Amino acid sequence: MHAYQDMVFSTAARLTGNDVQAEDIAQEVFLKAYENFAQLRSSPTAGGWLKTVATRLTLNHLSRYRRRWRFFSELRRDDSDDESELEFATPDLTPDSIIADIDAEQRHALIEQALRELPEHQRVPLVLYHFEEMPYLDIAKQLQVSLPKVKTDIQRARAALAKILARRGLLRASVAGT
Amino acid sequence: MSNDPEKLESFVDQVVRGQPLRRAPASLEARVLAQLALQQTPMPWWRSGFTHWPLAARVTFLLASYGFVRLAIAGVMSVVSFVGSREVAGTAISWVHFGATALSETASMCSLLVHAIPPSWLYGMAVCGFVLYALLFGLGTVAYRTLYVER
Repeated sequence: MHAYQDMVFSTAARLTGNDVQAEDIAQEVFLKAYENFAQLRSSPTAGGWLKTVATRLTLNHLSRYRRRWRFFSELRRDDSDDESELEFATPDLTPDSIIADIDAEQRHALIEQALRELPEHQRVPLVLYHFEEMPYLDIAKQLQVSLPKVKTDIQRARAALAKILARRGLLRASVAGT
Repeated sequence: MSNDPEKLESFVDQVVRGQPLRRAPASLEARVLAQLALQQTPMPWWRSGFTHWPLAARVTFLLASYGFVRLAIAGVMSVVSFVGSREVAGTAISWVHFGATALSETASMCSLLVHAIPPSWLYGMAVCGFVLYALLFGLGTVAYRTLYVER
């Protein structure tokens, strides 16, 4: 458990954007692992199994949560299809846009915070693609949405993330100011 | 300003690449171990299914249930006989009496109607009701998948 708890918790925390829910999910993952302890004990793919289960349980959790509150939040449409959002200008980014002299720990915290600020319908596909390295098609299947929607949401999420990071001062002044 | 998707993707890749794992809360391990211990502790008999109860508890439960049912029936019967035997006009009891009579008349009329309808019609209506229910369920599913899941 020691070897994998950070990985399981990270997966759940980045997908949910909520540490309390992530801890609940991580607990559930390890209880499931205990049920399958006999198979996992000697398996070289135990880490992969835990990651898959953590991802699946988190997505189930998010879908249940969404369904539960959808009735009450129907009037507040947060997954806008407004194409103008896609067109907003993002900073002129290059691989070295991030300020290198910010303390690494502080930089990591700012990035995690920026991820949490993304709306769920952008954060989840972004995390699945960039952190979990899941292909677009698999993400579309997992989230039960169309492939173009996944691509659009991820593109919007990247732009929103860059914008948040620029606002937080994590990008070079020349980039953030443009 | 740029809106180049490829630049944006490589930027996010770069951001993500150096990102370490989040540290799990210190309470996680203790929570998992506590939950496992709880699962391994045998549940008290009253929290498990009726078939797992001790014989004496099952017999006592059945006798108590029988007693409660008898008591409830006796109570209802005594109220009914009390209401039926009194001719108290202008009080709440007369309204209860009126209600009971109306209910009884309605029930007997429904019974007459049901007996007057040929059984084949009743079966037909039941099948029709089931088909309509299935249709509504199907429409609901299609609406859910179209309007919600596909969004």
